[in-house]
Amino acid sequence: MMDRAFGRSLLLCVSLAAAAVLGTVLKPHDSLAAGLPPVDLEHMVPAAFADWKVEAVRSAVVTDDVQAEIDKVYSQVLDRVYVNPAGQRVMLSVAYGSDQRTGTQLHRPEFCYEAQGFQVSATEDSRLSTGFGEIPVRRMVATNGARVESVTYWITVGSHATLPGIGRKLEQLAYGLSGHVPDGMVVRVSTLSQDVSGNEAYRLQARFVRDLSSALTGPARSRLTGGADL
Amino acid sequence: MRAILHHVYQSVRFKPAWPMFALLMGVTYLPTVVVLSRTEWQSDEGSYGPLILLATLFVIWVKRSRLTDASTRSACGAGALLLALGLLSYVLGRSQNIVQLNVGSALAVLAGGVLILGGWPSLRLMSFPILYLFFCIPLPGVLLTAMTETLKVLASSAAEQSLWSMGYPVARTGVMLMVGPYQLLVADACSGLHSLISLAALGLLYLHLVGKRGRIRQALMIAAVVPVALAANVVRIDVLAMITFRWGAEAGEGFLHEAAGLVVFAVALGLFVALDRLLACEWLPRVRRAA
Repeated sequence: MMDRAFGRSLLLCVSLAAAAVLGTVLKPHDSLAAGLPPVDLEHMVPAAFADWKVEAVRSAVVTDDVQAEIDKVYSQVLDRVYVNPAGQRVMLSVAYGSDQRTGTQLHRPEFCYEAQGFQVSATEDSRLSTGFGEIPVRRMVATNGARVESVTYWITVGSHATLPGIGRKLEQLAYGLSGHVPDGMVVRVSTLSQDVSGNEAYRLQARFVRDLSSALTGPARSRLTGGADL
Repeated sequence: MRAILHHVYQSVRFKPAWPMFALLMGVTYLPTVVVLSRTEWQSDEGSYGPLILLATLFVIWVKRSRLTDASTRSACGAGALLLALGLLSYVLGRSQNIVQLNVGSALAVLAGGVLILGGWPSLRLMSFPILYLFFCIPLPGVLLTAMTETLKVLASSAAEQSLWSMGYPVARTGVMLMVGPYQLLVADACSGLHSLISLAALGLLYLHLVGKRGRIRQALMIAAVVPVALAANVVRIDVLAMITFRWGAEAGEGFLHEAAGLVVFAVALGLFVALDRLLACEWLPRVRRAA
């Protein structure tokens, strides 16, 4: 009787100690980003492709709080406005983070817009063809006074395109449990309602993404739109 | 002789189980505490964390002498299950950096360990401190954002109405209050989420440690925690708006901002205790008897 009780407490202690060791040993150490050519968004994304040209390098106005937050999670940020001969403008924003584990992951654009005083509405998930495969995208309308912005975005974890939420969690876990620290991006394409509105905006954005995908080099494309679906 | 031997055997060989369990819990969860102290506990929303942990340890320490050493077969089975579940989430949470799993696993591991070593009576004894650790689990970002936004809007509209009824020239757009010539932004930190959680945690600790209550009184007190905390936050915003209105914007920021928060928190706790005393009064049952 006594020995059984002793055995139990021994088993309890051993399993606790084992968990403590496993928890540390199973931490992913391999940075995925370190094994790949370094990401340089400025060079990866061409300044002109199809009939799109960079109009101006956009410098968005952000508060100090937001800037501090940006520096904390993003390794690189690219912000550009492209314009086509018809005068339609498409804003492209790519944020890259080299450590996409939970806790240091990139933020959802929803929150970034809301944090800057936008109201986010009409959020819906859809799929978008890049011409090289389909990727899951989220669409939403961000409104701040007279500024109405239609947004399409997706995120990547490692070489997989996905969306925030359970999809991202599972990708993070899959990479983490195989010992890798994934990198990732948030790719955001948006238009203002004074240029195009409603479904027309999303069609224009889809065309922009297709044009962009075919203009990218292979490695750049798999970084920006995910490699698994290609 | 046999009885004495038995006693010696029990005190020497078996008693170390509890301290060993406590020690190993400490070793296993020390890294978790380190992670928390570098992240969540540094932020406004999570700064109450260390106090929760201390309170939990204190309550466990107070009750330790009443732990029993007898575990039944059914308790062992359930304990092993809880332990396995807890350790699995611990390994996953710790290695994959998912802090909610990491911290939350402590509840299951503690409950499992207590069941294995001490059986159901011991788990019943320790149920409060174990469940109390729930407050230590950081809110996931999505939930935190949603709750903060909701509470902010709630607090600013309540502050607007109460200030208006006191005759202040007040107007509100969203979470921006205009009091006379001054603009006050009800920031994330003013949402009251922090004081709501801290007050709920302190209130429950008080209810557990102080006094014996009937079931109805206990339920009433638990139900009172949230309204008292919300009201306290509205009073805080009101007071800051009044200070700003009387003495200018500088007065409403700086030192008084912090001080008002602390004072109102203390007042809310006082109110809570007063309500408890009031419910304990003799006249309550007598009223019921008279009716």
